Formats: sequence, structure tokens, C-alpha cells
Amino acid sequence: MNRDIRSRSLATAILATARFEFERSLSAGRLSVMACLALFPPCITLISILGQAASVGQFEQAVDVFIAVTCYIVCVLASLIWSTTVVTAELEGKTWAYSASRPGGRIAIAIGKYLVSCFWTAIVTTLAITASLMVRSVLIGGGNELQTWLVLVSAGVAATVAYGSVFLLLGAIFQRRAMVAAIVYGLLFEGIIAAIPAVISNLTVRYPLTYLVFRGLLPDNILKSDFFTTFYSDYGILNAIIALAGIILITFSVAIALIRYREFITSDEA
Amino acid sequence: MVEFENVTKLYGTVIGVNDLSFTLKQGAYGLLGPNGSGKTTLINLLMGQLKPTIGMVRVLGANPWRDDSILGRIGLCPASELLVANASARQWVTFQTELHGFRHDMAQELADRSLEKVGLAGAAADRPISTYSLGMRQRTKLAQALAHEPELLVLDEPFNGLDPVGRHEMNDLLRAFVKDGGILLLASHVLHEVEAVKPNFLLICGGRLLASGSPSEVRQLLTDMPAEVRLETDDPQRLASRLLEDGLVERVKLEPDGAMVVMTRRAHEFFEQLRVYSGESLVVRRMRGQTESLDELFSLLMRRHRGEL
Repeated sequence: MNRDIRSRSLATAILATARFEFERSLSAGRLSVMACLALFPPCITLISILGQAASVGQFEQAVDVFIAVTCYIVCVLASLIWSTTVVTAELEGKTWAYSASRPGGRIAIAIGKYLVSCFWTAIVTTLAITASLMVRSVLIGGGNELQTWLVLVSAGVAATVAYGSVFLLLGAIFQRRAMVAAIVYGLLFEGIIAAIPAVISNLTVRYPLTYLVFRGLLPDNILKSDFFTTFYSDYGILNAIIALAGIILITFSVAIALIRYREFITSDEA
Repeated sequence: MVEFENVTKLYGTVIGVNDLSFTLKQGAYGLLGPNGSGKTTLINLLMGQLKPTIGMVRVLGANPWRDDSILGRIGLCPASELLVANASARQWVTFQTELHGFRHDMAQELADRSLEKVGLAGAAADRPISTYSLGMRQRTKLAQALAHEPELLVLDEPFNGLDPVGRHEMNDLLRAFVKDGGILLLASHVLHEVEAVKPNFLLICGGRLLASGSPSEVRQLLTDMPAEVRLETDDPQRLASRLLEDGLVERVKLEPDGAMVVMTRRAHEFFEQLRVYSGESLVVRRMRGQTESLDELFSLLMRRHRGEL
């Protein structure tokens, strides 16, 4: 027996899962999906700027916000596609029984696949942001590109991790139709509830995230406007960071606990 | 050692397994039962994938639901088909072995050794699994179960898709595993597939353990079971009356097509007597056992379990 030479480390199993999933993800199908997602924001930015060419000089901030919104949508979509399916893809692909019959296998699969999902989502989002800002820079110029890039990429990475955790949890809760549940969550919570100027919007990822982006991109006069203060009151950067960290920590921990202890029925036989 | 103590598993109001109690020590065990009998539920309980609703499961001294480190000593080959996209057998078996905690290089070595053992070495092991035949997938599944050198091997329908040569090789492999001191649990719904490994039997149906024991004990049990036989003869009335007179059958039913179906508990004497009757011009032209399929056999065992027979 080889038990003596096993590292028995969960980290080894997680890294093995991440490496295996990463290699598998380099398929033509997935690379095409990534390309489509990454190219969507720069294309739509190009179209919108060209459409507003006559008054382009007045739209610098608006274009920045437009880029932020399209890249945000791409980030949420990529996360939804790849993080929601962490568990369900294993169950539907009938590979769950194999991985789950390893010591710590359930956790290793969940975290390893989550890391790969976050990696690709972050790559796609960063590419989309970079390409969109290049389009903006070439057609309009004049802005602080580096600061905008840093703000949007940081927000993109934070959104990737946060949405990844939320969708991982939804995938762990809903063994069937997890994608439908994730879309409903996205539309209801992140689409509607996050836009309500009330305490409940604090429970969404979008609320603290957009606050951080606005603080990084918009000039002081807009940040001090009635509209902004009505919506965010005295929220503050620290509160936004704590809220995001809290959402990530809670959803990720609950997802992992659920994946470890839930009885996933993998066979039709009862 | 594997111990099930009064284990019941409910899926809501549906019973998966019902009050199972047995102990498996070193050796081979054939878990037999028709489809939907609870074999996979039993295996999932054993592997810690399901929590018993009632009762206790202990595998190699640990509760597998709470302590999943025990899984490092178990090899599982599930019944479900292997559908892994964009990976070869070597990559996949190496990955599955790494999940057991082995370093990549060590896992690769163990995977290669295991693939060779199941007859899937060389270039074939580097082809994508999606291009494999059913038999090759079956070998890949077995390789991942054996690679980490488990003490307990659980195989769910492992002979699916294997040709006769493959079955023979698989049997040799499993016999060697048992000879080396392992515990083998082989689940199947086909009796003769399991028999070749010469195991003890666990007969399960409707989530209940209907019978267990060595091959000779199970054979005796089956001999004692009432058997239904369909007979075709030129004079069914006369044959029926002779059989009833001699007390060899409990029930006789004449079919519209002229055949007769009898139920006997003394199969051996019954068949001997038919030979005697043939000398009295009571010739049986055709004879067929009505309990040939395992489903029918289990149905009889279930009725016996309920005390109806």
C-alpha cells in the first residue's frame, strides 16, 4: 500500500483539480465563448461612440460608465456560466460519483473548479475592459485611462470572486435547473433589488460594487450630488469593502459546507 | 471489515434500503438484485455519499459519512457511464489518483500501472475518453478504482460492455485482488457474471436483504424454493392427475393452449418422476422453468421473506 507516501493534503487535491480543469477548459468551444464575451463590450463601445460622434467630447464619463456597465454584464454572465455549473456539471456528466468518493474530493472539486471559473471570468472581464478602454482612448482620448483601467479591473476581479461565490452557492442548492435559479437571482436581486434605494440593496453584490466604481471614476461634483447621496447616503469605501468581503465569505462557506454534507442523488436507483 | 447494522435509508417517503444488517470480512461478495432493488443505495451508504436515516454503517472501522478519510482505502467503480470530455484515460486516472493525495508524478506512475493492469496501456490510454468503446470505458473506470491500491473494492455492474476475453481478464484481476487480502463487493443483476469470482452472496430486493451466504448455502436455498414449470404433453389431464396423486406438485393450472403450469417444492423428485412417467407413455414434449430470470427468482424470494411461501 502507498498510504505512507500520500501527502494527504487538501491543497494538493485542490491544485490537481484546478490543473485538470484548466487543461480541459482550453477547448475550442470554451475559447470561442470567451472570445465572444470579451469582444462584446469593445464592440458595443465602438458602436455607441461612433453613434454619438458629433458630441463625443461631452461623453467621456458617460462612456466610462457605459464600459463599466457592459463589462459588468460580461463578468456576471461568465461567472453565471462557469461557477453555477461547478457541481451540476459533475452530476450531469456523471463524474461526481468518482470525485466524491475520494477523501476531501467534494471540497477539492468545488474549490478547484471555482478557482478555474474565477480565473477565466477575471481574464475575460479584464480583456473586455482593456479592449473597451483602448477603443475609447483611440476615439475620444483625454481621460485618465490608467486610473479608469485600475478601478474597473479591481472591480472586475472583486465581482468575479463575489458572483462566483454566489453562483457556486446557487449551484449547490439547486441540483436541477441551477442556471435558471442563477438567472432569476441575477434579474431579481442584482437587477431590481440592487437599484432600490433601501437597506435591502445592501444584500446584493452590485450595490457595494457600483459604489466603489463610482467613487473611483466619477468627479466630486457628481459624488456630492443629491442623486448620489440619496442612493448611497454615507455608505463609505470601508463599508462597501466589508459588505463585499462578507458576501464572499458567507456564500462561499455555506456553498462548501453544503457541497460537503449534502446528499447528492446521482443515480436513478433508489 | 464492513458493517451495516439495521440500516434504513428513506428518500422522503420512498424506501431506498430497509433494515439492512450484514458484515463483510476479507473475501469476495456478490451483491445481487434486480434493477431498482437498492444496490446503488447500499453502495452510496457504504461510500459515505448518503447518510443512513436509521442504523449504523462502519467501513474499515470508521463512519464513512462523518470521516471521509476512510475513502482513501476504498476503490469505487460506479455503474454510471463515464462521460469525461477533453481528457484521456491516462490524464483522468492520474487526476483521480491525485485526489487521493498523491503527488502528480507518483499519481502518474500509479495510474500507468493500473491502466496496464486492466489492459489499457500504450497509445490507447492517451486517446480522448470520448472516443472509447464501452469496454474501454469500463476498463478506465476500473483502473481509477484500483490505482491507489485500495483495501476494499466496490464495483457496481463492472462487466457492462466487456467482451468474453475482457470478462475473463477482469475475473482474474478480481480473484487476485481477493487473494491478496482485499475485500471485494461486486454488485450485479446478472448471476453468472458474479459467480465466476466465486463470492459469497448478498441477495437484495425491494431494499431488503432477502438472503446471504456462501454459494452452497444460496444454492440450497434456491433448491428449496418452490419452482414453477410449464409442461407440454399430449395428455395434460392424465399427467396432472398423476402428479397430484404422487404429491409432487402443489398446484396445477391448465393453459388454454393445452400446456400446463405446475408448482413444485420437490424439484429433484419431480424431474426424476417425469422420467418414470415417460415409460408409461406420458411423454413430456417440452418443459420450461418459469423462474429462470433473476427478477422472478427475487419475486419468489420476496414472497418467502414476507412469509407468503
